[in-house]
Amino acid sequence: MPEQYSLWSDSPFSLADLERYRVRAHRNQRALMMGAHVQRRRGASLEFREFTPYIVGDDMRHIDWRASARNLARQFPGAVPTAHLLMRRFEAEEKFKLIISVDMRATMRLPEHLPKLQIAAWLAETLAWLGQRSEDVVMLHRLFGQSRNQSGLIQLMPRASWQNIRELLQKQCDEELTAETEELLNLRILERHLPPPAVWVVISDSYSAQESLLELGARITRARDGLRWVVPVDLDSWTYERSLLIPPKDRTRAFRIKGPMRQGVKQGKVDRGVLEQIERDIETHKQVFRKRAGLPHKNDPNNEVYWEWETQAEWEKRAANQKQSGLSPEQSFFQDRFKASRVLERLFMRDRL
Amino acid sequence: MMVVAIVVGLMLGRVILQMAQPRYEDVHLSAAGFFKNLPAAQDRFNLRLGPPVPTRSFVIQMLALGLILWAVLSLEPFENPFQARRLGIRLLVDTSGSMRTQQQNGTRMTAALREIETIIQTVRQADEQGAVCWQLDTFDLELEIVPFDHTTVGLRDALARLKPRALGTDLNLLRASDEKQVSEDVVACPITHIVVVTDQPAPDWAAQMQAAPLLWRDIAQPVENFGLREIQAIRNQLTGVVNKAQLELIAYGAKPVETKLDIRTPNGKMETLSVEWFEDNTATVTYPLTDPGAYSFHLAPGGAYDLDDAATINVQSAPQVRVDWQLPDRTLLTRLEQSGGWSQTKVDPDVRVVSDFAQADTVPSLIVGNGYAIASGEIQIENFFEPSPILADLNLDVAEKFRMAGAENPPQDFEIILAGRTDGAQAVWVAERANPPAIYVPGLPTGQDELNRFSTTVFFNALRRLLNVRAFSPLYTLTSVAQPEIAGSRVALHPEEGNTMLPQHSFGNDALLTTENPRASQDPFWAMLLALAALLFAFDRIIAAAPGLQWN
Repeated sequence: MPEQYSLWSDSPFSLADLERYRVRAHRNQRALMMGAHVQRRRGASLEFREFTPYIVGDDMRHIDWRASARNLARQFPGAVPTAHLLMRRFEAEEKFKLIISVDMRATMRLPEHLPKLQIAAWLAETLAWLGQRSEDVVMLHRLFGQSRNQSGLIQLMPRASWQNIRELLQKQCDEELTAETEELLNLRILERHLPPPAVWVVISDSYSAQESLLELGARITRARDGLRWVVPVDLDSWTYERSLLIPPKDRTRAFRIKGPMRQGVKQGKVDRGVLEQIERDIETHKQVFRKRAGLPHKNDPNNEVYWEWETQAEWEKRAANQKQSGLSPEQSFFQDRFKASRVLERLFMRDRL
Repeated sequence: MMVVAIVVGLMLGRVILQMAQPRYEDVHLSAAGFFKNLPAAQDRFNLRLGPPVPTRSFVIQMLALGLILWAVLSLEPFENPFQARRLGIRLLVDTSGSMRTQQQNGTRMTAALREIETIIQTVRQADEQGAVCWQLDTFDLELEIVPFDHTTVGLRDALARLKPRALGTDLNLLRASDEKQVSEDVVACPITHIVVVTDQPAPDWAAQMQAAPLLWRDIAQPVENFGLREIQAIRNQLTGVVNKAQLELIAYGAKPVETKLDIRTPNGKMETLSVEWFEDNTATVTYPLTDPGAYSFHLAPGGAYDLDDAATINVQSAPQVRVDWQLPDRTLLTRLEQSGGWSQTKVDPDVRVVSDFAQADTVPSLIVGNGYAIASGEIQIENFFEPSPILADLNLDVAEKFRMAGAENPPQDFEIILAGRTDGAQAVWVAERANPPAIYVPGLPTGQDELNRFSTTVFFNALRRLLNVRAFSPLYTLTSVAQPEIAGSRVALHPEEGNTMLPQHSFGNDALLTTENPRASQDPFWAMLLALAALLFAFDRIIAAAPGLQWN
């Protein structure tokens, strides 16, 4: 049974902050990188406007295949396979779907000073609210943990308040699951909710069992092949946890390792050799997932979100500096990461055509 | 002590081992699942200064060792590990007169010596290894240490010289010696056990004797006995002359069919009296003592115990009453002197007869008032102490007919025996001081009939009472520690020494006579502690062996 994790009440952003963020994102248009949202006007008819290059997330039904075939000859060798595709643009667009999947397993509830689940929850709240304000259909999805009730996938009501969003996330987080079902991917419920155009944000630490990771990777690949925009968000706390274990120079420390584990008691000495091996094992574990999901070997900041926890020393420094700002170090950590993420900003950018 | 040292050493060793255990820091990691088996925290002994980490296993093991230590400490007494285990047996042998009692296979002393030989044989094995030493004490009316070399051979020699004495038995000597005797001989022969050999049953307090484990061996067999218990003198209270001897006899067991008391008088005359026993197994024989000198009494049959079968008493010549008569009227004195029993003297008188309270000093004094007169007016008795022997046989109604000279203000230390009012005025007619003895009476014997009887009775009652405080020579004395032999009128009629029918009651087990700590076999508490300790150890090891269980 997962512990009852209580989401914090104070979000790092005020509503005014988020509104400013959304407006700024809508105004921004970056070269070679198109926003996920296009300007939309509500209209009763579909009136052709122009051809535009296909960007990930566009509705495939509007690809003009003949024009795209003709465009193929103009592509340079080595261009991305979808570079030649052309979209018919109309005056009015269909609604955009934003699905936010959050990994709520036991490993996400650590480290104790700043659980990954807290960051995931804030991220989900923030994205959900921004999506709502952009008139997207927003769905909150519990990535792991099958249950009979319908809390695994929740669609937000239009104009849901921040409090509503939080309560729904809490409900998903607090649902009692058995130890067996807690580790099972909750993907089947998602099948009919991932048609294009849809953006699927997957927030996880990738510490689940390899079978689950392989299944998730396969699903992401299918989604990508279906030209849905999948945004993996990797929350990596190893840097911080490693800093807890780093022995002083020329000395060995002995630890009793506790946490979500599947076998035996882990106690013994931890030296740099041990830490390096652990690091390699984590990397190998993640690479299996990334390969299956069709992700490049290294994180692509243009298409993925990778947030790494700071070391213990850096965290203490942040905590010392934050006293003056009025924000908690956890809140400032989240703010810094969120604002710096180009991928997340793209979720709410528009094409000004 | 050695075991204690071992246990304490184990505890210290365990603490040191625990101090050398690596100090694990507990850390919660989300990446815990990636940690396989970690290298052991340390591969060599590395003692760190600081308190040991209180792991579950450590606490349970220390608890178990603590219980073992408690069990060992509960074994008493402590043994000196540097001293070879020895048996130090202190024998306390009864040498009182009753040990002469005949029973099956000899006297009780014979039985006691046989019992001691049994004890010697019980520890023979240890004795052959030189692990036994002995101490011998005898007791009757005193407790005496018998000196010898503490060996078994020396003990036998000392025992061979033991004989019962014509004395009584004082068991309180054993209780008093509980600590004292043991501590005095701790160097020569440290006492580990005490064996009492006696014909007395073990008293209740025997179990509380602390010095060492106690064995009480009552070698007495109940046998019948008849004997003299006491001889009392019956005296003329005024003159002190012994008129008769009253012999108290007692039978233990069945009453004899015929009992004769043979008497030899000072002039050599022999006489035999039959003894008639009462239902309560006692008898009383009164014999007139007409002449001064030694009278011997012998009871036959006498039973198993012989020292109460015979006694000799010595009757002193009739003593005169020495009186210091200070009254002017000497009529009565003259008559008493003429009767032969009284003599006037100022030197060491037995009694002084005076007319004033102030003359009553340390000599027993009879204060005589001004006398009696026919009463006129009202006389009323208000206060009298009826039990007083001075008022014995007095008709107090008669007293109200006569005006008696009263003491108006007797001294404070005089108690009122008879008082009242004469014509409304208070008067004390008879008063007595206890110490020094003094009695006030209204007057000398006088008058006729009722008055004569009253005045004579009260006068001689008072005199008799004063003369009773005289010390007379006893008819006989008892043997004592200073003079333990029977001779002349020194007899061995010690109380209860002739009671040969007491039920036998021994105490203590021969199995205690081992070089092992005897207390261990009596106190099971230590066994429970050890069992608990063993259970804790077993629990700790079983849980530690359980797969997958984090037990430490």
